Amino acid sequence: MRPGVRSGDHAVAQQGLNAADPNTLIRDDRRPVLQAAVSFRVLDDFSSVVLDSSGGEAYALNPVGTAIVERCDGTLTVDEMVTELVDLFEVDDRTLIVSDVHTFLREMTVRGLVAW
Amino acid sequence: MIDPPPTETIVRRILLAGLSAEITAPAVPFGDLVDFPFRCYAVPESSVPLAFRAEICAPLRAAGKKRADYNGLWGIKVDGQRFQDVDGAEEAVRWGEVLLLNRLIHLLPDVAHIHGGVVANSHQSLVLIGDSGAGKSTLSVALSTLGYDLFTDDVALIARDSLRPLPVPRPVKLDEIARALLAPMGLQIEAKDARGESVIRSVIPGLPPVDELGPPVGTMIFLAGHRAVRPALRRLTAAEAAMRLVRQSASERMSASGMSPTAQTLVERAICYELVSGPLDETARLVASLGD
Repeated sequence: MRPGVRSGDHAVAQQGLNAADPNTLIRDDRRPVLQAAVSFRVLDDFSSVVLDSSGGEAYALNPVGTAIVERCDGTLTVDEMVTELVDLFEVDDRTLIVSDVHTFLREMTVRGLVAW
Repeated sequence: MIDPPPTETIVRRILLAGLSAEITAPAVPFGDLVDFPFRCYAVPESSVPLAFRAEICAPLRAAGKKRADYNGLWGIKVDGQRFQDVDGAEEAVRWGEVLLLNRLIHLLPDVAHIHGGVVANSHQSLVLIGDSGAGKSTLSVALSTLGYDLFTDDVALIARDSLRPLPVPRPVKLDEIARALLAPMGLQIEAKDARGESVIRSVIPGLPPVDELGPPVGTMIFLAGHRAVRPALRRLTAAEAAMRLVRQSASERMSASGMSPTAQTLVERAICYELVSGPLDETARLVASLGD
């Protein structure tokens, strides 16, 4: 399963977009952290709801997205995060997880949910 | 000849979760009009204190001021205070019933209010959630013809502690198309039982006792905005269900701290699906099978 994020509304709040190019922010040695205005709640089936109270947007994450956001606490580098997820999901091909994590973090960054 | 001014009043009460409210209106022309929406509400014991009283006030024609004008601007008062004016007697009754229900709901902090239908078999309740026009009422009534109790087609009230639904026996909104779709399922609704798109509740099967809660919610079904040749169900994650639930709930909105405990409990305890509707009979049978 690829990490998924679904917006609570059909239109994504444009005011929440990060001005900086996320491709320059996402590096394996950096430690992403959820923005202060973002709350995150994990549900019984390991899906989760992310709420950005600054933009009024809510998002539903699937279990893979949940596992990534759980690790956006400012203590893990992207590389360490990937290592944990490879173990967690018992994936043989590390490059697959690297690709998924980068794609997901880019989307979270663009939506203003993650800081670097 | 001038009609006599309306002096007699008609009084109807509703009872909801131990609370009652009363509406009064001129007996002429309201006798039949008021009976229509209130036919299935409980008549509470006199010992149940009134939470509030609503009153429908007939306008008087300017000339002579002796005869009520059926089509004029009718006033609605709550506990003696003017609440709003509406155009025409039928609108006044419709607003009066909505007002009673909405005000009582606001006095029930232990009840979650969701825009949806609720049907139940002997061991679980199914909540049907969707935008207006998605087919909640039609599907709810179709399920009532398949042996389900119909707790509500539109105003879902669910006790927060037990997740058990309250019966809300108001008239059911079914337009001509919906009635035509339901006819092959054995539900023939005569013209005298409908007023506009509202069908009197007593002619629809599956009316549960008005003072009993249903079994806990076990399944939630979110109606998709589109239809298909064949009905289809897709299992939703709890988070996907939560996003849809909070959009259709008056009481369980997201706050700065996230979703409410009740919304979280509902999406975690219930099995949640997205439903793409197909032909009504097939769709109803598919949904009915979820309660097995």
